[in-house]
Amino acid sequence: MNHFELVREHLEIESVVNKAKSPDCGAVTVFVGTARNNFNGRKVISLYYEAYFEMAQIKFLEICKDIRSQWESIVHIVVKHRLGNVGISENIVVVAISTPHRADGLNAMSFLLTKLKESVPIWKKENYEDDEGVWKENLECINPKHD
Amino acid sequence: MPKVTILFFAHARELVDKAEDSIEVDHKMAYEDLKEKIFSKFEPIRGLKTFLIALNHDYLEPGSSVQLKDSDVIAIIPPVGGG
Repeated sequence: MNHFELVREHLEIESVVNKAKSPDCGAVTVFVGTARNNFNGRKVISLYYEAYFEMAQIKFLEICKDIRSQWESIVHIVVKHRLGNVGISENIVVVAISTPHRADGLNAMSFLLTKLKESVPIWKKENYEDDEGVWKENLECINPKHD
Repeated sequence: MPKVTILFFAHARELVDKAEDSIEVDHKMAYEDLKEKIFSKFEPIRGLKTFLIALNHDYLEPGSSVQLKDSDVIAIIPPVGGG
């Protein structure tokens, strides 16, 4: 199963892990991205996320296809990502990948997270204590750096 | 001339102050000409340092030739920040 979901409410890690679990798997590799309270010394008070859902879903499925061609033992891939305002320390994204053994899951997780940050159309605005918010670009983003 | 839907997200949405509009385009256009067409109708988009254009949920390659038809959906994709 490849499952991608965008949620506006609190994101429970357990719900993602349970969705990825499989009786024939001995491992669920999990990543949790959380909201950090600082950027380059500036105090961040909250984050705001928005997405182009239809395209994000398509890009996620392309990444899953790529992952499954490299690591054939992968059983389930589950991604839930927040939308809207996210408070400090809240979960932004939870990813869970189930595999019979841990190695493929760990490698696939690293690959998935890089690809997610490169090209899946989700945007983040950082809101600061002392200034107006700024839309942030992932370092991995595929956009040309200069136009 | 085909009339396509154009979607704006994140910083792009804020600059044009709308999430969706439409724009008349040619059946076949160079990527750069499409971009200029977008700039001419939605001038504030020039405020983006960089962006990509998606056509029907797929990224267009800068420098490519683009085929367009009525009912197509293009989207202005500012640098992504998810994950």
